[in-house]
Amino acid sequence: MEMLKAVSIKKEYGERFALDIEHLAISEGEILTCVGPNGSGKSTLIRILSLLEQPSAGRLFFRGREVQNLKGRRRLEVLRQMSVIFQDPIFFGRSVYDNVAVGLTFRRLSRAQKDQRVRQAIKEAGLEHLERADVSTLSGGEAQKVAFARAHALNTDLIFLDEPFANLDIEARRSYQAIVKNALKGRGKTAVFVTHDISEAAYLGDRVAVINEGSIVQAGAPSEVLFKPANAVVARFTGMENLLDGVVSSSSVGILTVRVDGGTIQAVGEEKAGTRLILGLRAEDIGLVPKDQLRLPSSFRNSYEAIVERVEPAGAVTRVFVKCPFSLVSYVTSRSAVEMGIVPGERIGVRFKATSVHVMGSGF
Amino acid sequence: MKVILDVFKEAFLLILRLDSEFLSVLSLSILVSGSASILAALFGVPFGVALAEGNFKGKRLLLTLTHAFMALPPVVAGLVVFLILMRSGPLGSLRLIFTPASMIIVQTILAFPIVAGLTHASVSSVDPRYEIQARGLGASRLQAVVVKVRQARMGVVAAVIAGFGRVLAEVGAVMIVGGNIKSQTRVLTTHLLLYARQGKYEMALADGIVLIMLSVLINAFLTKAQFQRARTQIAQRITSYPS
Amino acid sequence: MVKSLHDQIFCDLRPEGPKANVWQGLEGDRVRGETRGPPVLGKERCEELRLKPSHPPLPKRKGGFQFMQSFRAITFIVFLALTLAIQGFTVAGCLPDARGGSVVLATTTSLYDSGILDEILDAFEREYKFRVKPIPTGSGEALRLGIMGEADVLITHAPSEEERFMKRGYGYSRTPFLKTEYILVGPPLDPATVRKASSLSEALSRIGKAGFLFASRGDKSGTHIFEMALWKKAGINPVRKGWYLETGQGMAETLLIANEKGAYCLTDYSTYVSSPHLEALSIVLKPEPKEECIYSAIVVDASRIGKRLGNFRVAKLFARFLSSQKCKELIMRFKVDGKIPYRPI
Repeated sequence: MEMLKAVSIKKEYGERFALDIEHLAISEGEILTCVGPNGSGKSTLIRILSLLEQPSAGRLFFRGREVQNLKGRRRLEVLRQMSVIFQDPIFFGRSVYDNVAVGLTFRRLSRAQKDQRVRQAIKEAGLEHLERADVSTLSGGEAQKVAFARAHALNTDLIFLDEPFANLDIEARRSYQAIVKNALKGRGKTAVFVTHDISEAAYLGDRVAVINEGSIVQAGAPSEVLFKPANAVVARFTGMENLLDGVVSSSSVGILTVRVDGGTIQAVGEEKAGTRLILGLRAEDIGLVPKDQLRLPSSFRNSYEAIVERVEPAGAVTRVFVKCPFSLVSYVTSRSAVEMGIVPGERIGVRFKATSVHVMGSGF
Repeated sequence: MKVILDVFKEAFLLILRLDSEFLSVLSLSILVSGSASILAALFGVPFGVALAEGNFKGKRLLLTLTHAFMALPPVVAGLVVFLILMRSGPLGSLRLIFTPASMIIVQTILAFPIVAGLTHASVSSVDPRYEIQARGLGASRLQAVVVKVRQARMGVVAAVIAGFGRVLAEVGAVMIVGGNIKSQTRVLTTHLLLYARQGKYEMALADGIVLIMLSVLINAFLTKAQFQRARTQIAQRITSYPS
Repeated sequence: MVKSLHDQIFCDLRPEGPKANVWQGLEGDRVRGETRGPPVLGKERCEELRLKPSHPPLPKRKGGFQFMQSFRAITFIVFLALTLAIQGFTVAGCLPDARGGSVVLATTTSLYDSGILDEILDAFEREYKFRVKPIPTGSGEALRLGIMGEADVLITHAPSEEERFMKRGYGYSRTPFLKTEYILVGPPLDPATVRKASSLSEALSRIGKAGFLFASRGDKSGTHIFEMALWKKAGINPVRKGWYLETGQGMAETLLIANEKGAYCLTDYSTYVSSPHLEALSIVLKPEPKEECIYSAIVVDASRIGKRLGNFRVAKLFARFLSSQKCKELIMRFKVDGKIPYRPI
């Protein structure tokens, strides 16, 4: 059943459209992640879906009931079936305990009921040792856990999370993500979760909606969005670094030969010859080999001799920019980059499978 | 030079000796201005919060008026209250004129806009995220406002103290409606005025010293409140990141 | 030092005084040398000063334009402005009286409140072109100002205190020149049945014994001193009694408080008739024979006011004027609300 549905939601600030959502539905028990670059309108979307902000136009349904125009007690009643966690938690009281209890205090729960639920939430968030700590002394990760615990303590069926992991280091982020995922799934909660990190979105979400410039550009299962981006924008956002304009020169039994700037690429597809399209390639799908290896038989349909243009070490991996003669970026492990002697100006072999090439319309 | 030194010496001795007349004047001053501040707080704080948080017609007008009345000349307030409370005035039958009650009324009127205006300023300057976060955890509109007011509490206390400071140092209005009657409506400022005129400079100066001490105390508190606010603002800036 | 403190307190009453003092300190020796000249008083001398300024900076103006483009020009303009400002203040400061401050008249509030003092002062100014500055206060305070040398001439109505003042050598002369009478006012219903009393002291005793509200000036003014003497005669000490309201203010203010509080009040006839809006008060006792309230002019002895000989001369002139035929006619003509509150002596 649908927990929340947004229809033709629009929000404008002055002249500028901040949000324009045609249709968005969240089913019961589902975790939807909204992913998009900064300023794409994700936070606005969360504030509107959680009834904290009024849309300029459109309708919002909560469990089949139209809610966007509710006022006063009735709005509060709906509001109390949701909880929201923000990127930077704002604290109200002094101690961790008080802060976890705050939402329950708003709901005027009895002391005993409150105490039981607060302790439960603190335990699930792994904060027992900090129960009496002053919130101003917490680290970023601990603060976020408190923020989660206080929403979790409310035990609402619907939880909104607005970039809760943004300010955390990688270690804290991993442990916190696991806690959140377990807690949400464990209790069968419905959640809307906003992030600008596609891998985070894919890890947490049952479904991913990509938002750009206030609109949903693609929604679907994480793998679908990651591997079949609907257009170049999504592709770039999901980390597909190589995007090439091309025209289909020939097409036979599902294999396309596409002419790109300075060469041809073979890809999988059904498009007719003459079609303009965009080819997407993940950097990690492009293999670099010593150039003499190219002569050996292999299953790679695309292989080129290329010149290394630039080398950018990035920790464990190294980004290698090559010209084949069209430009590509490839990731190799930093170790093999050293072993293979990849330096600018060097000639090198580049190869990738036709199935790794993602074919998109050139509409964007 | 000697005379002025003697005057200072005598004034300090008077304060140290806790002269009974002086004490009664001081306590009446604090009683009148204190009650007026409490009354002004009772009305002014909710009013200021309503100005900051409310959504009603005429809010801008009320705010402008409040700000204008923050600089209401005390003698004008005194005169108006006098005309209302005097025997032949509309509320003359209450027989309040030339009593501490009338002084409390006029000082409440003077402190009210200050308390309301400064409360409005401090509540408006609370980070709006407090309200959004509170609402996001299921706070009603009223509960969210309470959260914001609690966040602004130093500012609200400072507003009341500022109101107290104003009325304590005020002389024109209490002179008009109080009449400066000995041990009934004589407060520090009118006492000072009287003794300055009568040439009892020691007594006048003792009043002056106490008034200055009170004003220093009040300002020390206000400065502390300001620093505290600046500190929390810095803390917020450190822990917050652009989304 | 005391003077400057005093000036600060009274700066609202004597606006020109402190300003003149402040600027005199800044003028520098040349200008100050000028002020040390013979004490010439009055407007004539002032106008002379204004028309023929003897200060050297003025001719400099011509030369100044050569430097218009330079920084020195700006400095010059600032200097010129400052000089002119100082000059302006000096001229303004000498308007009431040139050298060493104004002729100060410490007076009882009664004469001031009724408005007669303004008429007398105007007449004096018309006649002699000297201006005298009145400070309205109680008689006690007026005498104290005389002792301190803060006032040049006093108008008081506390005969016993005045005699003591003269005896101790503070006064140069004392001239009674005007009188009114003391009356008792109170609520028209007269709850203390004061109307039946034969004297003021008996009336006070009725009020005090029954504990009806009584408003007193409590400021050591002539009226207050007279009132205290009456209480003593009545055998009652009213101080610190709940029904005894000490206002510490002038007669008019005290009457106003009595009016609002429904209290009795001892007042001079003149202030009572010249105060409007005293609907809740009526005369409850106007003793026969009259309890006279005599106002005297006292010229403070010159040694008290230092070297301000000019002031002393004007003060003597003013005291003489108060007893003149011209002033007597003025007093007799003076009416408030159709009543003649004062009689000349």
